[in-house]
Amino acid sequence: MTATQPLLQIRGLRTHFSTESGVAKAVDGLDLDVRPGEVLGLVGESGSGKSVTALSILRLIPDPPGHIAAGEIWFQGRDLLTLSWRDIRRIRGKEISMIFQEPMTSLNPVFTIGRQVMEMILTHEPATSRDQARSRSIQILTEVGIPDPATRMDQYPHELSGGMRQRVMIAIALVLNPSLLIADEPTTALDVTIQAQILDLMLELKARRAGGAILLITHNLAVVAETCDRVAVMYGGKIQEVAPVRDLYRNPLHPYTRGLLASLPRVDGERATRLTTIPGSVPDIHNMPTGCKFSTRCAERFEPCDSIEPPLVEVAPDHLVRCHLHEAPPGTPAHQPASAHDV
Amino acid sequence: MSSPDTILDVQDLNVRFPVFGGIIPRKTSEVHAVDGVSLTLGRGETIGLVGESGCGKTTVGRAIVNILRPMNYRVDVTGRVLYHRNGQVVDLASQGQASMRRYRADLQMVFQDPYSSLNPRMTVGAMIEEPLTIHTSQSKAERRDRVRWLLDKVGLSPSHASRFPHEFSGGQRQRVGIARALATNPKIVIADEPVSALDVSVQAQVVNLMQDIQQEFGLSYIFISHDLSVVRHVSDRIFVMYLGNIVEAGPADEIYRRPAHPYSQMLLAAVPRPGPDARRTRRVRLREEPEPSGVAHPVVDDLPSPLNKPSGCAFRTRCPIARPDCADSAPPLVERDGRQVACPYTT
Amino acid sequence: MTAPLAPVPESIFRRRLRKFRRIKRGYWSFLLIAGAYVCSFALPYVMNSTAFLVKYDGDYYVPALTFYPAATFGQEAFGETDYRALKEQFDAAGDDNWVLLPPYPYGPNESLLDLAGVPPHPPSREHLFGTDDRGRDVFVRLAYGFNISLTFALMVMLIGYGIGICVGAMLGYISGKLDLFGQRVIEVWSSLPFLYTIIIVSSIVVPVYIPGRIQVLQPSFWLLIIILSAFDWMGMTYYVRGEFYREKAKDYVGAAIVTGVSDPAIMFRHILPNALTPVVSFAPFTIVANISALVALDFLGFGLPAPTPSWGELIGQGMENLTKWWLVFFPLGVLFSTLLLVVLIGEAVREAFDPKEYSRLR
Repeated sequence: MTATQPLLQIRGLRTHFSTESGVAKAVDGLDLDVRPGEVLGLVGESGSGKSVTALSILRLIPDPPGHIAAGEIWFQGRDLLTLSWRDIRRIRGKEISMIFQEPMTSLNPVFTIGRQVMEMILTHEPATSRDQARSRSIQILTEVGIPDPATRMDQYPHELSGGMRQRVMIAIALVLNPSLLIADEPTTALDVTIQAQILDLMLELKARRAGGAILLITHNLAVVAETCDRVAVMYGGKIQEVAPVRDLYRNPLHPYTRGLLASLPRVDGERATRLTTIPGSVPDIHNMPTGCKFSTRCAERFEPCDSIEPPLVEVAPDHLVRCHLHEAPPGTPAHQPASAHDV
Repeated sequence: MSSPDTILDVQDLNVRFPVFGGIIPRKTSEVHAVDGVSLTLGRGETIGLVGESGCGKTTVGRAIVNILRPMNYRVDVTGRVLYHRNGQVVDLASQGQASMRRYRADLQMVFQDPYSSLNPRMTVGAMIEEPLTIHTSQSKAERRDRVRWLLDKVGLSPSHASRFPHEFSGGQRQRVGIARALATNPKIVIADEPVSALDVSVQAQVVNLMQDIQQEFGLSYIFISHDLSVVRHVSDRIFVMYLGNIVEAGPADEIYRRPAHPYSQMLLAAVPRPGPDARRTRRVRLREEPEPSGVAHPVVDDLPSPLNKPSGCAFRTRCPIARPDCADSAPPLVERDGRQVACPYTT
Repeated sequence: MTAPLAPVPESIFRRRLRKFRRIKRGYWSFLLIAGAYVCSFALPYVMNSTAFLVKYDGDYYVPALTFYPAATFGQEAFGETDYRALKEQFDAAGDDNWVLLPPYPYGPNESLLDLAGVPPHPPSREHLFGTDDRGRDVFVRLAYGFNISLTFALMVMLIGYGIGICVGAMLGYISGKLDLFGQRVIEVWSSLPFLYTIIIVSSIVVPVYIPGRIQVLQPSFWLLIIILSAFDWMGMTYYVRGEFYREKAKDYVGAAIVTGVSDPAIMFRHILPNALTPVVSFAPFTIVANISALVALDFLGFGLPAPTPSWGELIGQGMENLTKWWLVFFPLGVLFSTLLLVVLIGEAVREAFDPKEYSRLR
């Protein structure tokens, strides 16, 4: 483990949904650290549980049908899962803020942009005067690259383009200087040129505001490569591999990570005649394999994979993987962070 | 411009959607969604149509298969869609719904959304069988056999015929959509974002399936997508669209290696690349504009709305090399370095 | 390699049916109402003054099927035999003539003039809910009224929905000018005052009651159904039109067009099954509305002609005889329970058709 104390520590998180066909274990024993000032990418396909993880951190899981069955989420010395609703509301937006995928629906269409930015300030810092809130709002809108912010303050969301709306969302999320920003697929709904601008902006803002960490949730491995410091790959409700970004792309260890990287078509380099694929599809959430979650699709499956779930072990400095092919080097203890129930 | 090997020749296609307004609804303006698009498709060839949302690529596909009018009665389509069939040339754009039915078997489509493109109330078997009932005189047993064979071809089990779409995953649904499109042995398949809604690992499976099928059946594809990496992987030639116009067209490898039009350059530069040495610098060059303070500040640029398309070259509002006279008239596509480019100033 | 599938294919309708059956309150209401309705068709043999079977002078007679004048059995009266009197007579005589009466031997339109006192009579062992102001058994009339009300509501719904779905489908699918003008025609039509139309029609066409014929075959019953349906179909056109409009823009319709499917087949085979959600979820509430409409019309006297057994007429009697509690309590109670059960069905149907995975009721 690194010397610095993580900003956010998730231990043994289990978020379950009761559905018609039984209990769906969307997140089922997740351990993850977010370090101060880093951009951590959480990558996974649909149904891997990455968005549910994000919602669980802020306790935004709709209950019913969902509920957090077990786990701890430590943030600034407090377990977010045991906080009262009042306290968690104080943290939302101020300490940890979130931006969502859909810039079209994340803003309230009947209020002006300015009102929605100012509301964030006035909710958490009621002592602020309206003039102060307004000038702070204009300042943050300038920072996220919105031209002529004073005019934009009085406009309604439908008068802005998708990219501009996502900038406003970022402004709202950052106006109170939170120490963690959770970005759930922030560029998926945007065109590729606009996506590039938004990613640039996020990196630029991160460089400018030291200390703030970003948890970037995405399915796009290329976006991760260009923005993140560390990457966590999720599959079947669990972390399968965590590594610094260069390590992961240079030396992916988990067969799933390798499969994902190989199946990407590329815009540069030689054109492959045929794409490499991962056979099969994501297992049904009600019917997950008992052993390794990836065992049903893994080409390198062997004896223990079907029955025994491998632990997440640190096989190289800062590089953790959950696979029977990779045992911890002798002498190093398995990555077992205060969670006896997660084996 | 059509060679003997051409199967489809689209000439000067224009699609306009009227916009209604006023107290008594009447046409107040129009969206010129496709503005004079011409393209050719060879036998067994795949052409890629790329561009951002609102560039008209989907509309081009739908205009070619002539489903714009039946799905949206207020639309104005002009131009010619010449289909070369057994030595004859038919203009599909001028066919009514009844006479168009004759060519439907040859011209099929795979849709983007695997959820809305399959009828939720019909079994997979019934859906694949339907085109056979319409276009062939096969007996029920023959049709059933063909459905099984097709399901097997696209990597599903024949027993899936009695299943309903909601029982499948996105990738499996897209395979059903491909089986349906293949039922009548088409010559041309228009694939409108066929893998955009799929996960990465499944996307590769479907792309491979489409390529295998192309080789086996000698199909021609028009592959429409916003995902430049997928388009590059499947296409022989590429057409880059921007706000209803083709701005650059040519062999895929050429364009990806050296994009000529400023828009193609911007688009390619914006694509994030996976890999250990991914760049972490500004990807998209933006026009700089002096702020009142005199400091150059990058202008946040967005796609103009197709409702207020800029005059002249539509890209000039975002173009880093735009000149004042770009506003005067739309530059034509000009042959250059083995490709066509609609920009006189690019180097 | 595919995701595991359920052992048998399950259509959306079946899945919803399964969900509906799990919502106990609505499912039991449905079984109760449907069961009672089916049973109510046997009413002429369960609650009637006409005997099932008569043995008289060694011969068997089946009055339930054939009409026998009183003289057949040696009664000194005109018209139909009074079988209850006949039974008493045979029982008293003690010979081997006998009469097999229905379990509740009173007819819906029979004035029981031989009861002691002045009608309405209070409830008794013979007449569970008492009698009305013409001495007719209230229990019997309510039971027959249940069959009439529900048949009426179902018929109005079927005809109204049939027209509404067809018109809505045409407007939504063909759209354009037809839609524009069709909608205006519907708006004009729906602004016609319903009650006045009923009053005018019923003053021109004098409702007749044909004695002996069962209620649902009375011409007046059908006249009322047609008038009500004529005002009932517009509501559904809006919903179906909207559904067609929305479904038509979906890609599966595009796929059907690309396949070369004809317009009628697209409308009825592809889109219609997908456009039925509002139809099915509104059906129970439409039944409630139609029952209420019939009750209201009967109450006002513009409904089914006398002496049809009807709830509205009994409620009217209850209002005129407020001191006769059984004329107030029983008709209103029956109306209330029926409507409540149907509303419970409606609630469950709505819930079953909700695409949300998690059910609020269960």
